[in-house]
Amino acid sequence: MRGLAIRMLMLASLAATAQADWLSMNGDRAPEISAKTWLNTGKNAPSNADLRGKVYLLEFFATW
Amino acid sequence: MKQVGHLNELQRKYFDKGLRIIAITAESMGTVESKMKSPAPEFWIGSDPSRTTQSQFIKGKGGGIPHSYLIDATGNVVGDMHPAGLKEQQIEALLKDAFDPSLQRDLHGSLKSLVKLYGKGQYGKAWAGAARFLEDEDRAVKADAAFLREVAEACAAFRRKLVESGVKNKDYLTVYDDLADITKTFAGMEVATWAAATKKKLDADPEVAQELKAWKALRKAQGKERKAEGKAKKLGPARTAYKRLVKNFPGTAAAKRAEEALRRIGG
Repeated sequence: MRGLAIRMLMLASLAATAQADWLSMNGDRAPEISAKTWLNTGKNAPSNADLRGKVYLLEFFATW
Repeated sequence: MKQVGHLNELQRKYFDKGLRIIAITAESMGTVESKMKSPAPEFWIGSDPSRTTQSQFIKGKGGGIPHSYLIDATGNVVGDMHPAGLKEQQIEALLKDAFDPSLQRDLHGSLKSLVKLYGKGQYGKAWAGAARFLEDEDRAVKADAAFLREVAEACAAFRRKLVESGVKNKDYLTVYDDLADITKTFAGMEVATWAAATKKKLDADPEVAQELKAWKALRKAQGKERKAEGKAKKLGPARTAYKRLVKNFPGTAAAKRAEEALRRIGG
C-alpha cells in the first residue's frame, strides 16, 4: 500500500514537470505541422491549410 | 503509446464530422511501424526526427511526452493536456463549429475530372465546371453536378463564416491568410469576390493596420520565447519584445496577449 502511495506521488510530480515543459498556447494560432514521413495520410502530407475547418488533436508521443 | 485503441475509436467516430488525429514522434517510421502493430494506428502519424514541429510547442528538450493539443476549426489552440486528460465532450463541442468538405459518395463518371479538382481543394474550378452539367440529359449526371456545386457552396459559406468570426475577434493575421486562400481556392465563385472586397475594406482601415502590425510583433515575440526553450536566462529578448509590443500597440488584442505572456514568463 505504501509503495503504491509513493508511486502515485512520483507520478504526480512527473506529471507536474511534464506540464511545465510545454507552452500553454491557448488562444494562439497553432504552429505549422511538419514531419519527414507520414503514415495513413494518403499521398499528401497534411498542412495547416488542409486542416482549416477541421478540429484536430495533436499528440506528441514516443513508442517507449 | 498506450492509447492507440482509444484514439482509433475517436478517429472512427468523429472523422466524418471533421476530426483529425495527428500523432507526432521523433522516432523513425520504422520504429513506429514495428512497435505499433496491435492495434495498428488508424490516425495520422508523422515522424519528425529533427523535432521541427515539437520545438514549436515544447520548452526545452526531453520530458513531457506524451502531450496533446486541441486545435479548433479556425486553427487556434484551444486546449493542451496530458492525453489522459482529454475529454470527449470537449471534442464534440468543438465539432459543432467544424466542417468536413469531403463528398462522402461517388459521383457520376462524367464528373470524374471535376471530382478530382474538388479533391485537390480547387473548389471554385470544380463548381464552375459543374455548371455545364446542370442541364445534362442524364438525370443522374444533372443531380450529381448540382450536388457537387452545393457542397462547394456550403464549403464557401463555412469559410466565410470563419473569416467573419476572425474579424469579430480582431484576429487579422488569420483573417488575411484566409482571405488570400479563399480568393484562390474559390476563384469564380461569389465568395472569392466577397473575399477580395473584404480585404480591400480591411486594407483601408487604419485600426486593422495597427492590429496587424501588433499581431506580427506578437508572433515574433512568441518565436523568441520558444527559442529560449524555457530557460529563464534566455528569456530576455522575448521579454523585451513583449514589452515593446505593449508600449507600441496599446489597446490592441495582441497587446493583451503580450501582457498575458509577460505575466507568465515574469517581467
